[in-house]
Amino acid sequence: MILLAAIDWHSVLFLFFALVACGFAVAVAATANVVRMAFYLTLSLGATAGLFFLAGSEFVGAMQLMIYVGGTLVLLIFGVMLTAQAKFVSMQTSAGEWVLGGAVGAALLYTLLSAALSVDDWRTPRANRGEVALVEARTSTPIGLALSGVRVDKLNETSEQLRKGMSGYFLPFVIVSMHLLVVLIGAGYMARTKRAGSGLALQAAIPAAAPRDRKRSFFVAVGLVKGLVFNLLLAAACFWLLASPIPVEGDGVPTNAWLKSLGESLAAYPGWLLPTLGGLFIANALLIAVVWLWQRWGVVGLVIVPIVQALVLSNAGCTSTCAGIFLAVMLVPVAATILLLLSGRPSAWSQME
Amino acid sequence: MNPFTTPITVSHYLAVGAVLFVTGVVCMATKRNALGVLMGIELVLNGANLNFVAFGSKFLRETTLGLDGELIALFVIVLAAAEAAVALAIALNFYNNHATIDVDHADELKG
Repeated sequence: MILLAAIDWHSVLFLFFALVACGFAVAVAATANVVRMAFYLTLSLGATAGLFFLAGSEFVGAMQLMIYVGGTLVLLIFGVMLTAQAKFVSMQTSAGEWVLGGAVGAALLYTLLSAALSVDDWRTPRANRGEVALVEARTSTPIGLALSGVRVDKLNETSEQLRKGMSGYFLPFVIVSMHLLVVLIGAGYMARTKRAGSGLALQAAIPAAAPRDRKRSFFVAVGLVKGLVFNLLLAAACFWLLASPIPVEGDGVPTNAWLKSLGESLAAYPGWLLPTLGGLFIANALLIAVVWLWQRWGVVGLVIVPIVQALVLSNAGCTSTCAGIFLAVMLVPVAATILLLLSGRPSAWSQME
Repeated sequence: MNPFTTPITVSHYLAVGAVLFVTGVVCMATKRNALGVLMGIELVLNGANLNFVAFGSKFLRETTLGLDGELIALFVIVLAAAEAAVALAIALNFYNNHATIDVDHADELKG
């Protein structure tokens, strides 16, 4: 139970707007229907305007609502309406592209989030934020003056060079207005219809999409699922061993001789070995998912990953026999998968892209 | 830590900006409709704008970018409007000439 008085309404509103903005942004990326995308984008951008208001920049928030939601999006919706032929309203993306895009997105999100949370100064709220008066924070007038070249918020600027009128935004303002004028003329010129009826080359044949009803035999399906499960298990084992290493001396030494020798040999290898192997197993699982989604390049990746793993092992100080045995053991399932893909009629291989 | 009672920091804004940016990038990468790619670009620009405003906000930090953050955000909004107009004109032109809006078919300049 939260005490009502303890609730920080600024945080509550922030959470609301942030959830709406992020949720509908994800919906924009997830839906295939372009009309729905336009609608979700409207809500997402509107919620972002709310976040601007909460950050105390009401002028930017108002401009976001007027220019983005009121202007740019109306333009986009007109574009959607002008091109909304039945076959372009909902265009499916191939599953392989989703896998790739998702992997890139996840990596980027991890990088950005870890950067956003890494600086202590950014994570601590302003101590006396209750004392920041709304009047002091009002920004429309200073923004207007800054656009005409006067920075009233920097009147006590100490640097002589910055005081010489260079701290205003007059020149960028003029450049942007010229830019807008040029863009308006150019866009109007480009978008006009040149020949009457030229838009009705629409009967031109659109290249046939990939066949819908592709079949994979039962054995191929079982083989791929088994490979996915085994690779994920191996990756989990690697990361688990990384998180809680087997103790080699002291109390916790396992009684099982095999576990004991495993712990000793793992302790002898360099520290980067386990994360690398685990990452490569995860890459293998992703590649199997790619093969499952009918992308032929996944098979090539499946051959390459065990070779890379064997190289990693031999670089980590493993004997070459050990790496060779590992390579052989890893490549047998891959060879079996390729054989399975090639067998049957129509073979799964011939149906792949 | 109760999210309803802990005050908002710059990091909160950066996290929201990061999510918007990444969904925009994924949108740009996976959409086949040229207008979908445009919407992805709008999301990316918005995520960046959010960061500028957060760094300029007086409510979140003692030392801020000040007015510069908001002014840059304003310029980004204006340039995004211009970019959307031009890109839309190109997309409509492409649609008129090729009878499709699928970016996968826009490969006439491909070597």
